[in-house]
Order: sequence, then C-alpha cells, then structure tokens
Amino acid sequence: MKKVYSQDRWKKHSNRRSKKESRNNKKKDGIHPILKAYLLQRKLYTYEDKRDRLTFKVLLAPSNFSFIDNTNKVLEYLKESEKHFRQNRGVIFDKSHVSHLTSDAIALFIAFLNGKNKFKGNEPDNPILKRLFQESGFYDFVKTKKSYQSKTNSSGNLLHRESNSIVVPEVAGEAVMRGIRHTDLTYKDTDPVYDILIECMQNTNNHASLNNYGNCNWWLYVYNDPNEKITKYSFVDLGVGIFSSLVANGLLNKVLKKFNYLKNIEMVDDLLSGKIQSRIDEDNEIRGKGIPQIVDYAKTDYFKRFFIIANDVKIDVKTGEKWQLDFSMKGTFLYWELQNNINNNKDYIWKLKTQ
Amino acid sequence: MEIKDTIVVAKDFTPTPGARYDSDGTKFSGETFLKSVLEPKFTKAVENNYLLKIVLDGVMGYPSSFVSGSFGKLSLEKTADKVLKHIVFESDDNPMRKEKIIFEIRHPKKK
Repeated sequence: MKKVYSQDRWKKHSNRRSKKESRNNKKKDGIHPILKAYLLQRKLYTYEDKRDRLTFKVLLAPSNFSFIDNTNKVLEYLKESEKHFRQNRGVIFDKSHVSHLTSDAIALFIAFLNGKNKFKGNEPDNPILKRLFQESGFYDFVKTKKSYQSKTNSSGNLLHRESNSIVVPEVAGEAVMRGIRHTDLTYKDTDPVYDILIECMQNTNNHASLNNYGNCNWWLYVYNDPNEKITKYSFVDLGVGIFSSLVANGLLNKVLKKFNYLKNIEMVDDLLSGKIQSRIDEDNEIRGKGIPQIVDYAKTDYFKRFFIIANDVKIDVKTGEKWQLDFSMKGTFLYWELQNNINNNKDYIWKLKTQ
Repeated sequence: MEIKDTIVVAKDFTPTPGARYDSDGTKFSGETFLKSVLEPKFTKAVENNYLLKIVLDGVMGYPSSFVSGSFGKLSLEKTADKVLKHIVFESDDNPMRKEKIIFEIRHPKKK
C-alpha cells in the first residue's frame, strides 16, 4: 500500500469527500440508502424474471387437472411441455388457477418430470388443492427453493419411485396396508391389491424397453382420500407402453401391426383376455395370466373404479369400455380405487374362471 | 396317505411373495420358492410316499406370476395328478387362495 493512504492528512481528505458525495446523492434522488438498495434488488429480480420469460415458456395447466377424468387435455399439456424441453427451453408449469386436481395427475406429473431440470412451477391457489399437492411428496422428487417444501401428510399417503430392483414385494405390502387401514378392510382382504401391484411391477420389466428388459423406473402413489373411505392407487411406468411391446395375435394381425395398420384399440380385448402378451421368449406357454388376473380383480366390488391408460388407449377395466386418445402416452398408467363395500365378494374370481 | 411334512409359506419363505423369476429383481420369486422350498420337500414326499401340507395363511397374497413360476412349473415338470396326490393346502384366511393354486396346478399353461 502506498504510504500516502496511511497518513492522517489523506484520511481526513477521504472522509470529507465521502460525506460530500453522500450529501450530493441525497440531494439527487432523496431516497434513503436502505430503500435504494431494496429497490435495486427488486429491479434485478424483475430483470431476472424478464430474462426467464424469454427462455422459459409459461404453460397453463388444464383447470381440470385430472388424468383419469380429463385424459386428453392432460396429455396435450404434457406433450406441449415436452416440445419445449426438446428445444432446450424451460417450462413454467402454472397450476395456480387449477380448480380440480387429483392424485392420479400428480403421480403422472412427478413421473413425467423425472430427469428434467429446466422447469419451474407454482401451486394451486385453492387451499385444499394446494394442500393435496404439498402432501403428495412432489417436492421430495424435484429440486425446489426453500419456500416450496413437502408437508407431512396426515392421511398416510405413500409415494415411491423404483429404479433398481424392479419387483419390490415390501413396497407392495406397505402400499396394501395403507389402503387396508384407511378403508377399514381386514388382513383377509389383502390379496387383490397386493397381487395387482406385483403384476404391475412385473409388467414394467416386460414393457420397459423393446430391447432391454428391466431398465425402467416406475412410480407408485397411494392416496388415502380424507373425505371418504377410499384409497386411490396410481401406478406409472414410463417404458414403451403395453401396446408397443405386444405381439399381435395371428399372422394377419402381425403383418398389420408391423406396418402400423392395426390400431392399438383393436388389440384391447385380446390383451385383457390374455390371448396376447409381451414379446418375452422364456416360458411363453405359462405366461400371460397377469393382465387377466388384474381384469378379474377389477370387476369385484373391492374396486370402485379401475382404469388402464397405455399408449393411445384408455380402458375402463370394470366396464370394458375403451377410448381412442387424441394424444399418445409413452408408458403405462394403472389407476384404481379401493373401497370397503359391503358386497365385497370373497368368492371373487376363481369360481368365475372355473365355470 | 399321512401328512408328514409341512410348509408354512409365511414362515418358511416370506409373507410377501414376489413375481416369477429372480431376474425380475425380487428376492422372493416363484422360482426361488420352487427351487429352495417346494421342490426339495415335494421330492421327499414322493420318494417316501407321504403328504406334504402347505399352509397358505399369513401372506399378503399370491400373485399369478408367483403361482405360475412355482406351482405351475412344478405341475408342468411332474404332472398335475402327481402334484395333487402328494400336496394338500390349508387356507383359513382366504379359501380362494387354495382354489387359485389348485386351478393353476391343473391348468399350468395359458388357455
């Protein structure tokens, strides 16, 4: 340091100049320095926000944000965001105005965002929906600011993601027990949900990829509805989807499928009855019973609703009704509602099968 | 024929049976159950001409891939008649489990 800066004469000179400068500044804008600093920070924030608007696209979620009840709109929304992600642009998911939000949409949304990091979003303004969103565990699976945190759920919900071991019986067991407790069913009623969950997990192994079995994440969200004794299960796997991995039945259908002339919706009945199955070579003769078992269980009174959505098809498994979707989903989504119905039929399926 | 041996699935194997194969990433697959528990005891029962009792209670469920990968495979290898001659099932919690497994033994191949 130069010697002159340590001399008293320089210090006095420096102080005088500093005070004069300060007086001049006050005269100029008449703003208190703290207030000025705050305004400067806001200005910077606004600038950052403006910059975000150039690189991020704001997408308004459908006001009915339910995958089961508003399937096409939700798929369209995700397709639109996918387009921006592919162009390496970020997306701001605006859910503030959502008036109807369901657990199935949250499960799908979490699965969809996996592996993506250029996105932002907000919560629904509606306090009940906001709470549903916060308690889902969504924030445990995405990077968030401190202001957005998961809240402990009071209803014993469960959100699980699996990527390593594909079939996890312990998770299935835990998921079953959460539903059994909420619906006041007993330990004698565990079979339907447990068997379905294991088959779902096993299927992710088969439908994960056409070339590489078993390399696929799946998500399970168990939501205990606080308003009624119903537990809602959402199971998502983002593999290729059941229909892409199916081997069509008969030579003609095989040729038609090969050249994309056979629509997925035309294979639904064969799929549900177990006449066609995934392209697995080992033990083909004893395979193919998983989906028929799911269908048989779905028709019992244990389940209020039961849907499968895969590729461009939506199936109401309870009624057998099916819909061609406007947008395709890469993956498979199963949703069911467990209920405690007085008519729960203990003789559920095997008598039907053996008839 | 007299019952001389018993398998309690919940204790001798697991209360949470998994899917078909070990390669599915599950510890408690039908394949493991067949190789480590069911087949050795069944073979002994056949050799010594006695009944093997299998207690199905105390488990979360019997997924079709587990049943097919264990009882179904055993039936394919040894024939349904032989399996049902040497195995009896007990299921107080849920009698449908018993029917489901016997159905699988009788019809191991898909329709």
